[in-house]
Amino acid sequence: MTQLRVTRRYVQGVIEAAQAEGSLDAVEQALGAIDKALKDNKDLRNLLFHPTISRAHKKELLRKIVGAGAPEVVTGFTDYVIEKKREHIFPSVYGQFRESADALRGIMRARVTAAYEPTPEQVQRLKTQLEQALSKKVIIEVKVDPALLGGMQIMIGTYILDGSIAGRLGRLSKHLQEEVGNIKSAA
Amino acid sequence: MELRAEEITSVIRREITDYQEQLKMESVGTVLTVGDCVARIYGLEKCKSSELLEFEGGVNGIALNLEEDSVGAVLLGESRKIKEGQIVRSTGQIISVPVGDAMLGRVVNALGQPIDGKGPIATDKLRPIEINAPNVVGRQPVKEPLQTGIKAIDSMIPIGRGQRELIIGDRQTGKTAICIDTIINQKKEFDAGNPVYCIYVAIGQKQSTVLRVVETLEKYDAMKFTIIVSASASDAAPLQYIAPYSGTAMGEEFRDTGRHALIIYDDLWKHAVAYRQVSLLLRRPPGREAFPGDIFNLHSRLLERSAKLSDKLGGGSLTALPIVETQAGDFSAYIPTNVISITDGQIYLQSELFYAGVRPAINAGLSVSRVGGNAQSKAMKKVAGSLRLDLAQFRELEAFTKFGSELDKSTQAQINRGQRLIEILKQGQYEPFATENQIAIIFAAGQGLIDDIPVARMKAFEKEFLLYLRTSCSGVMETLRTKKELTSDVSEGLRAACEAFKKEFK
Repeated sequence: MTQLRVTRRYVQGVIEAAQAEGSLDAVEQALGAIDKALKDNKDLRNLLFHPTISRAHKKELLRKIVGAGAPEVVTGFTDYVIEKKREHIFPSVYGQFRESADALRGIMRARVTAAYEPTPEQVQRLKTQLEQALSKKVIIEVKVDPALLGGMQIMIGTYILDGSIAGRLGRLSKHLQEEVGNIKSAA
Repeated sequence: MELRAEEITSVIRREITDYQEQLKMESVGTVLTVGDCVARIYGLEKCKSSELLEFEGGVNGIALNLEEDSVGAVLLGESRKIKEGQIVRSTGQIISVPVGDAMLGRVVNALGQPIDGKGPIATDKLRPIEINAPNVVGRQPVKEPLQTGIKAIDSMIPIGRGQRELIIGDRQTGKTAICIDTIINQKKEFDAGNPVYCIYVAIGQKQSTVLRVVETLEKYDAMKFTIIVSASASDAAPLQYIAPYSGTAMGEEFRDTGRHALIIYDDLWKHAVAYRQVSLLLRRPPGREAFPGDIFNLHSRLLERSAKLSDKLGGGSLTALPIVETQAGDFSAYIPTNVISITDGQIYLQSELFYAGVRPAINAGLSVSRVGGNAQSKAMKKVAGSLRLDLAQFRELEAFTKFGSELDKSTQAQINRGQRLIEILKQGQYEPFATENQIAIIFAAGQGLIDDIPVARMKAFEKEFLLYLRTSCSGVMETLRTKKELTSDVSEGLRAACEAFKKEFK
């Protein structure tokens, strides 16, 4: 839990710096690149978290990943994090940054899980409806999961709207179990 | 009533056709870490403290720690089924257990589910396991006696209905035995149509011990008014932690419907240890003996729910007999001192007395009942009044007994009296005494009527004297039983009977 708190503090710093500079999007992109590289590459993770690799080496490595055109805020941030020996926050930085940046821009991300790939019109319709309901800009991320059988689940932040067939069946089965239990005890 | 398969089918069909649901936004969380019967959950913004949580796969949990960006919960089921990333739903409820008369005679776990293999329990009443204790206006002083059937307790440390009396002692000193005897003694009340329902909560006990209790109660036909709640040593710590609260919820059902109930927590030391485990795993800071800071509140909020309700609320009662095991006679450890200060008195059991053959091994000097005196019948109060004093004087002189003949006459007499009193307060297990019998024998010993019976023959004398009273003096005993007063007629009758019997006995 402390790690999440640390990440949040560092990210707050980057966001404020990036906002002052007006380079929020560029910073997000660069951090996304780091995140992707870390996710795809196990060796890179091992290297970055290894205690005997020198700091200069690690800094150089991250500079290469973000590329030469990256905003100075990003390189400054990575250097500082490594200087402070907080490398372990890197995997959670991007998600945290995106969350905070989205809040600044007035954007909400809806993670939609559907049984079948929805058509573009369906996604558009869902988007307008959600935007109306939440009065915020909504970005939709679609995932397909056949286990839902039909319908869809929409997750926004820590809230969930479960309209999937699997979820409804689950609730029906629970309801029936309770009802049968009541009948049995009445008998 | 037998339930037919077609009926169930038709009910299910009707339920399905009528089933409609409204989609609604739910606040959920995701499991971050899980292990050792605790889980840490991200999200659950609207979650409240001690709320029931639903995990995927049907496992339930209780939210205990609400932190900035996570919720710490204990799991009431197998933690193996829970994986990182699973969704957790909050229910907006406190965990509830089934209650009611259908629970009687059953053995259930901490969640109220039957574990005795006798099929489902037919009750539709549920009660939350944590509710506030009755307030001052809803109570009245303890005034009716709860007879344990044990001479030493009913005479010197009387327990009233609604009282909390701690039973404390080392292992193997007969703590559980006193409670089982008390349950068995309630059979008379049950048969007389004035039942005291009993709930025995086993916390962290061996399964074999629980089984022995069940078998004993069945043997003495006491299971029909008893519920056994078992969270044995092999159950998860969170189940051991909630077991006493579940048992109390079942007792409150009787209390709040104007009836009387007795609840036994066996034992609160192990309960505290289970809670300590849960707290430490949730990373709450440890305090004295590594117990968390709210360990006092844990027990006080539990025992406060035992009460005698006002007549307006039906006049029901819930009496609690918590047991605390001490380690090597250390009564000043953290948990024993806590529970001593919460309860309305304590019964001290000592292993030295136990091995010296004084059973029940009650230390009369250290045991007290702070409120039970008002609940004692007038007759018992009268005969027991001098008992405590005589025993205290005897204990002072006990060291001199070795010198025998060198003592003066009055000292000798006091020692004689003391030895006989100790002897009549001994009592076998599973042999509860009716109140009038207790009064008769304590009267005889206290008045010095049996000072000339040899100590070794006291047990035989007691047995035959009571038989004699029942057969030859039934009138006196009947007055004693119904009036519960030691009128001069009764005491003269008892005195005469004793003198007459002594001639026969020799």
